[in-house]
Amino acid sequence: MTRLAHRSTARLVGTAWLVAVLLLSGLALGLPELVALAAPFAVALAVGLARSPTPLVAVSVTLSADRAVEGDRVTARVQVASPRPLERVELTLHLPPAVTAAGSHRVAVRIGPGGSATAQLELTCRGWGAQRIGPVAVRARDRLGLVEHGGWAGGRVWLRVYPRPPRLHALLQPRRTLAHTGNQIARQRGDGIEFSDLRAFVPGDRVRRINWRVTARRGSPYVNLHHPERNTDVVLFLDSFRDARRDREGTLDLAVRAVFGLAAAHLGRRDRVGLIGFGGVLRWLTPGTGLTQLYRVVDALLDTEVVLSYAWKDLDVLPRRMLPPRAMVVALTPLLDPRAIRAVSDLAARGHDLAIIEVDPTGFAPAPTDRVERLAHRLWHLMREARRTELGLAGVPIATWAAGEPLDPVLAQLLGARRRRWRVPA
Amino acid sequence: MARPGLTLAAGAGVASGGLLGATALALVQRGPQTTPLHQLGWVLAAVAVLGLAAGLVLERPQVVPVALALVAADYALVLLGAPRSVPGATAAAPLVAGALFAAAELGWWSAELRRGAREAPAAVLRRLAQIGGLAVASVLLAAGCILAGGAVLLSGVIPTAVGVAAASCVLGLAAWLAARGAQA
Repeated sequence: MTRLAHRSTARLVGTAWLVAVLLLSGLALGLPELVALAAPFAVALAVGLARSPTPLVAVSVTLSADRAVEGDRVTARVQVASPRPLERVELTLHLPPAVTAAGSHRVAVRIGPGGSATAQLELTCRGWGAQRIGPVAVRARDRLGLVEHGGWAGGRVWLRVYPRPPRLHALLQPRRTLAHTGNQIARQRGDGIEFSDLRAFVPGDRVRRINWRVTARRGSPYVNLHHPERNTDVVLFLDSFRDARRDREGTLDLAVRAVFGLAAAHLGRRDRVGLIGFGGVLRWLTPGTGLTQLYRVVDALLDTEVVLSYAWKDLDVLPRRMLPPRAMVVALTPLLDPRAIRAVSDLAARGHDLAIIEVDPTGFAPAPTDRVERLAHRLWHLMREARRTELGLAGVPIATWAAGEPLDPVLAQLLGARRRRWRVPA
Repeated sequence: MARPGLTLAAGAGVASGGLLGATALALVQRGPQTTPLHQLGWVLAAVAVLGLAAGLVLERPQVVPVALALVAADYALVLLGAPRSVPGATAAAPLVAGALFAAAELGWWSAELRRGAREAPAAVLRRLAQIGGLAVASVLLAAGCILAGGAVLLSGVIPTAVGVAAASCVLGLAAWLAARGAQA
């Protein structure tokens, strides 16, 4: 139970002033009628002050679900109980900016004798993250509304809102695969389903591999060669140094959604997925596979935020096992912070199979208004273009993803760029 | 999106202003015609109603007692201007008291609703009934005061001193409450 603090209302003060003014005026002017006007207010004042014991309330907040996806609706139930009846209890549920209530997050209820009341609020999850719901600001007043009691009550409940992943129809093909079975068609030849090539039969080949049509045409036995299905290591590199933001949307939100979508898709293909959150706070998740890893990735993503830091960070701060030598690294970055740009350049220089999805921050920048701003804006665009060219010359495929656009064309662009760079080993 | 809280608040505010305006208008009509007091009555009535409307729109509930005091001043002008032999002005006191109390309740309710809390329909009806009941009780109480004053006819230093002491106590209470810091 929480004891609410006593507060005088503007109404109490106003009523007291009015009564005093009417009484004094009545006395000064010798008009008993003014005293009669003051009488109802004076009686209300006396009754209101006499019947205003400090109430005790118990408030609890429960949610219909503790996990949701962006855009989902969750019902919050605020239950308030008091040993004494309360004419009007105003409950204001404290909500983070990424969670909004339908209508109002403030509800007025009445508590009957020895009872409790429950208010329901329909919450809409507008943004991802671990959202803290509560506490509840309580304002209780007596029947006449002259005295008010207020305070914070009820605990906090956490609502984990997962980002809504973009729909992906195609994924990046890794340059190298691992030895374990997966869904990626390896570039090597071996046991598999995907046809690769033909070669002359040698002793030891299985008879079932003989291609009888080619054998009949050429007059000597030939066997089919296949590509095996293997898995791969995918490391998702999330740059959280800077966030270009406008209103409720920012580059970090886009990047987190993309990382979630890529992680889910790659794990669905039995790849091992790891995560590096490269920013003011460094986070990493060693590559793993399966549904558990997806939950780990999501939980790590929920805690991602931009933390201001002036400390210089490079790849040396990462544990060695975070970047397996055959891993494909997909970096999602707005290319705004020199530390992140340096890190992706280092990754390319170390020979990692790297692809960069540039989360375009230009759409979040305010439009230039005068000549100087236009010039600065143009220069900024040119510098970004130069940076992209530098990375491209270093052999890193890079594609730009703007807010509101699907991710699939960006992946297709990267896929094409990577295919042009590679030669399939004979 | 519909905002039932704001609609209710606007309704209560309009009702409050209307009631106050009607009371002020009735008092002005009763007052001495074409005299400076009559003109002052018009000014007071207009300031009271416009001030109340502006205060409620701008979420300044502190204007409610000021508007009521202005209408009460209007009534005092009527009483001062009318000859004491005419009983009509005094007889109207209970009705004026009831109207002022109802206008105050509606004004405070409007200010309360501007905070945007969702109200249950039953609570709205209960509040309306409560305001109506309190207004009737105010009429009866004021009538009782007028009747008691006329029957007892207390006069002299002691009753005046008692009245001054009572008014001073209320004034002191108001000052103390204001010093503690009131919340709207």
